[in-house]
Amino acid sequence: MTEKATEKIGLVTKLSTIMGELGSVKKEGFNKAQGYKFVRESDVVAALVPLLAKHHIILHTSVTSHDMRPLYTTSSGSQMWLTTITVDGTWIDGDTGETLPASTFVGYGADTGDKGVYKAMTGAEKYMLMKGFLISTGDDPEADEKVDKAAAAAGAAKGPVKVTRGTQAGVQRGGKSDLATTAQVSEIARQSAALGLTSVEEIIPVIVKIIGSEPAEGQEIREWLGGLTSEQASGIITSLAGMAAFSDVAVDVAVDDVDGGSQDGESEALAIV
Amino acid sequence: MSERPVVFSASSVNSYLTCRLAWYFTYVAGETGLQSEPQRVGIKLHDYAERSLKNLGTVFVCDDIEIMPLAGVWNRDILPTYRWPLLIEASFQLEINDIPYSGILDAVDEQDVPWGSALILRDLKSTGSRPQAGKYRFAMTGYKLGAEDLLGRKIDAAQLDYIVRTKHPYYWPEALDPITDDDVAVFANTLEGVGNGVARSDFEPTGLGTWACKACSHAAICGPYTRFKEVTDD
Repeated sequence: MTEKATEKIGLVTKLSTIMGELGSVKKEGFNKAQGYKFVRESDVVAALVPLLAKHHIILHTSVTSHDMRPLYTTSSGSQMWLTTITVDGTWIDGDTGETLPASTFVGYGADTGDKGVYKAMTGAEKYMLMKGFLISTGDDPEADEKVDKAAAAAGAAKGPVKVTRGTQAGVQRGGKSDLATTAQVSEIARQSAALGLTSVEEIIPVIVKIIGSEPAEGQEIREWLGGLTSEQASGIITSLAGMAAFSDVAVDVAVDDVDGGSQDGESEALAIV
Repeated sequence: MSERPVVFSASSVNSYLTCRLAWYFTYVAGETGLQSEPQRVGIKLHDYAERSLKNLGTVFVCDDIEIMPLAGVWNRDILPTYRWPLLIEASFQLEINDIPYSGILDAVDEQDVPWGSALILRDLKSTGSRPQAGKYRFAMTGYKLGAEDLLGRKIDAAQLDYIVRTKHPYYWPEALDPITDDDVAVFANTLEGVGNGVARSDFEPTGLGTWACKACSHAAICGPYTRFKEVTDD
């Protein structure tokens, strides 16, 4: 009786047995940029493969559609692409040849090169397995918090933290500033360069047109920009971004009355970047 | 003119960690974004609490219908727990390993204890649901450092006073585990990471695909998010 039942065990029964044998999968991955933990595809696969092999089951996947679209331009000027794929999966029982469709999953992968499709496949496959087997991550937030805190402190320990009183002028609620910051000055330089404005003689007239005031005689450009209000700096940044969107027209207009850059001017402009 | 570096704050660090492009919009491009209803209510509640703390013993009638139920919780459950507020809405500015950091702490209250007195750092929050413990540890560590700089004394304990905005708002206090040197090390490390990111102009839209975009006040002007929505029907 027992032997007969074993011989006829179906694919669904085998999959549910694996579900019972699997337990939970811990979140071993950590996204540093956004500070959260996640279950890695490799953890899911490592937990499942021995059990699938033991029960003579394979998962056959096929990409049924894929699409690649521009997402945004990174700060280094590369094009970020978003790859979207659809993956169909089929469970196959090696003992009986029985098949069972797995759910169809969509995967997204963002990459500046050719890895978007592989990232998308990894994501789709991970969720196909996790949702298919109802895998819980089984983490204990309190226990993890202590471990993470100790680990974070260990990672941060570079000697005593130096705390002194700050004296910077123009600081407002929430870290905003009345006065232009170095981040804003650097952004003005970056955007100017992106527009092809590479000399002081080219940059200054454009900025003067935007804010309506000009540097004092002999004043260096970085000093001038650093003396602006944060609002003026933001206005320049927004205007330059707008010009970049219509760069052919806007720059031609803006540099109409530019006499031409000198070698000295070019060096000074590059120095503000 | 000397260089004027960015002065960070709890909200600016949190903004950068949530989405670097959102930080850019606020702190570089100067886009203030739309003030959300919870933000507006939070500001009004803070103004009311500040006024009542600065005039302990005087009962202020709250005539703003939007915060009236929350002011009721404040007056009934929180205000009476203050003993002697030494600092109220106090601005501070520090340099943490040479990185500028500023903040405005809600209050430091001095309480009687059997061995003398203790300084309690307190922060008022209004929230839509019961909060996750430890959520504001970074901000509270910064406030502790700021308070100690302003007072020249050690802060003994820190507490968050939440008013949970349900149909019947209620008070939910969270006494923090002691803020230790480890917390300060993590704080400095986090600040350094954000400072380095800003210094190298890393303003990638790191909130894409997370909850952050849906709650972001810059979503309407964010090109990457608009594109992401077009591509994903998010």
